[in-house]
Amino acid sequence: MDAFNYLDDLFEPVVVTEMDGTIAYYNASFLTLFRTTPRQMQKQKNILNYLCPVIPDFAGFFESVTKNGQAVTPELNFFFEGQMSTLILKGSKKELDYILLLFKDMTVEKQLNDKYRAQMEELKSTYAQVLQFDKLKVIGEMTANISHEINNPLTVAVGNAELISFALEAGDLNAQKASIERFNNNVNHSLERINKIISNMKEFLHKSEEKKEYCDGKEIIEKSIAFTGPSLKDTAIKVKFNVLGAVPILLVNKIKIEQVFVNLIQNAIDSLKDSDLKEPVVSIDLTTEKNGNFIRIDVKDNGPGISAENKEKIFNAFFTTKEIGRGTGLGLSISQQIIQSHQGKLELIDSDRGAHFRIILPAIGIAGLVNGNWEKMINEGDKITRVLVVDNEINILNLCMNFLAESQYAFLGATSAAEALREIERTPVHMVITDLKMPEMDGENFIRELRRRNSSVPVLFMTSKDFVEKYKTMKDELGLKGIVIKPFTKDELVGAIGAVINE
Amino acid sequence: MSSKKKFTILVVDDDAKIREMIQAFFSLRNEEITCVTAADVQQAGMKLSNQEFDMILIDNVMPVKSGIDYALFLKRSIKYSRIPIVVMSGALQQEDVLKAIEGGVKDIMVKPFTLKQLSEKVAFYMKKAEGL
Repeated sequence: MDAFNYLDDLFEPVVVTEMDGTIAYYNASFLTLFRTTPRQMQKQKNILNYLCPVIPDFAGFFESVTKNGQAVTPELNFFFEGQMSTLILKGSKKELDYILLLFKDMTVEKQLNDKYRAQMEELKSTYAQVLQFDKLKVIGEMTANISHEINNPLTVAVGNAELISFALEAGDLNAQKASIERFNNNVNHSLERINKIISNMKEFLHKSEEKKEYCDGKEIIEKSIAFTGPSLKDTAIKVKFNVLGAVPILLVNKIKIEQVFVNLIQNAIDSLKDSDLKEPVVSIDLTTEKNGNFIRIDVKDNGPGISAENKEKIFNAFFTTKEIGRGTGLGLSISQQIIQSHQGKLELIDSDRGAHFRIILPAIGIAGLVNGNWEKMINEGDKITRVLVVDNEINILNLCMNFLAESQYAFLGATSAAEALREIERTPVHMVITDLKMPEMDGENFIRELRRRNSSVPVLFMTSKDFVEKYKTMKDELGLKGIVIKPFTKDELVGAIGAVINE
Repeated sequence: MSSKKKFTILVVDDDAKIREMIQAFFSLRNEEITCVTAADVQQAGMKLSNQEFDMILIDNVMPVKSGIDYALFLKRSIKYSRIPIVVMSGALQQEDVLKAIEGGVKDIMVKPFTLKQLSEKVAFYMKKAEGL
C-alpha cells in the first residue's frame, strides 16, 4: 500500500493491518526482526495467525486496540527460531480503520542491561572481597606490631621467673625476699601487659560487628592513638589530644569507630612522615556541641594537606595517594560508611595548612532512639512501650540495653538527668527507670523536676539495698511505682517493668 | 688466671624492665660480670666513651636509631669495631638480617629469650675473650 511508504525507512519494525488483522503493509525492519521474507508474508496474510504463536496473548492485545483505539504491551520476551528477543509493542487505530503496530525491539538493550547488571554484581562481590582483604591487611600489620609488643613483656616475664628460681637457690632466703617480691611483681606486670595487648586484639577482631554499646568518647580516642603508637617510633611526630568540655558518652560500635579513628590518625601520621617540618603534629579535638545533640571530633595535621583536585576524590573507593603496597585506597571510603551507619558524618574541612577531617556523631539521646529499637518502633509504632533508663554508669546502661533488647519493650538510655529531661521532651516515654546516685542532678531531684514539669510518667528506682528506706519515704510524694535493686537479673528488670505497665 | 678478670657488658634497651632484669640476673649469678645499662644510643655513646666494654647487648627496636643500625655504625668505627655485639630482636625481616651480617654484626638473639640462653651467649664471648 503506497499510502504507508513513508514508513519504509523507519528503524522500528512496523505493520499496518485492517481491522480483521489482514496485513496491509510491513516494512523491512519487520522482516529482519521476525527473520521472515516477503514470500512467507504472502503465504501468511493475517497478523493474528502470524504473531499469536510467538507473542503471548497477542489476540487479546489486538482486540483491545480495535476496541479502545490504542494499547501498549509491557516488555515481552519471546523465542523466535531459537533466539530470544525482547520487545515492546504499541498498537493504535488510525482514521482509515487501519491498525498500526509499532514494534520497539529491546533485545540489544536488554542484553546490555543484563550484562551491566551482571557486571555490577561482580563488582559488588569484588568490592566485598577487597574490603575483607583490607581487613586482613590491617590484621597483618597489627599482628606484626603486636608480636613486637608482646615479645618484650614476654622476655621480661620469662626472665624474672628465672630470676625467682635463681634467688630461691641462693642460701639465705630472707636476704632475697625483697628481690623475689620485685621479680614477682615484674612477672605479673608483664603478663598483665600481654593480656591487655591480646584482649585489645581480640576486641578488634570480634565477630559481633554490628553491636553498639555505650562507651567513653575519651577512652576510644586514647585507645586509637595507642594503636598507632608503633608507627611513631623513629619520628618526631607528636599526637595531641584535647577534650574540650565534658567527656561525652557515645553509643557506637566501639571496634568500628576505633577503626575510623585509627585510620584518620594513621593517614595524618603518614602524611607527616616525609615532611621536613620542625614540629610535625597530629591534633585531635573532642567537643560536645552546645545543644548537646552532637559530638564533634576534629583530626588535624600540619602536613602538606590535600590538593584541590584530590579533595573530591578522597572518599572514593580505591583512591589513594600512597605508594603502591602502602594503602588500598579503601580506608576513607570504609570510614565514611562506618560513620554513616552511625547516623553521623565524616567530612573534609577546608583549611590553610594540612588536612582537617571532621566527624560528627549523634549524642546518645538520638543514637539510642535508632539503635536496635527502630525495628520495634516501625513494626509496632506507638503501641510499643518505651522505657528510659537513666544512669551515669555506662555498664548499667549497656546491661539494661541488652536485657531489654530481647524483651517487648524499647530501650532508651541517658547518662545524666539533664540528658534524660532533654530526651523526654523529644520522645514521649512510657516509663522512667533512674539511678539515685548521680553527679550534678541526682535521681531524687530529677524526679522532682519531672513532676514539676507536670509529667505523670511512672518511675522506678534502680539502686542498691541501702536506699530502700529512702525509697519508702519518697514513694507517695513522688509517685514512685517500685524499686529495682542492683544487682538485678534480666527477669527481675523485665518483670518490674511489666508489673507497672500492666497495672 | 684471667678468669678473675672482670667482664663488662653494655646493655642498651629502651625498655626499663629488660635492663633491670638483665642487670639483676648478672649481679645475682655471676660476680665476674659487670652490667652497665643505657636507655638509648646517645646514652650508649656516652658510656662507651667513658669506659671499656667486652660485649654489647642491644635491642633492635628503639627510638631515634635501630639497634642494627647502631651496631653497624660501631662496627665501622676503628675504636669499637672489635667489641662483640649481640642484637636482641623479635622476628626480623630477611633484608635486615642480611644487612646486619654483611656489616659484621653476626649475632642476633631472638625475643623472647630466656636468661639461661643469655648467660650461655655471654659465656661464649667470655671464653673467646680469654682465648685472645
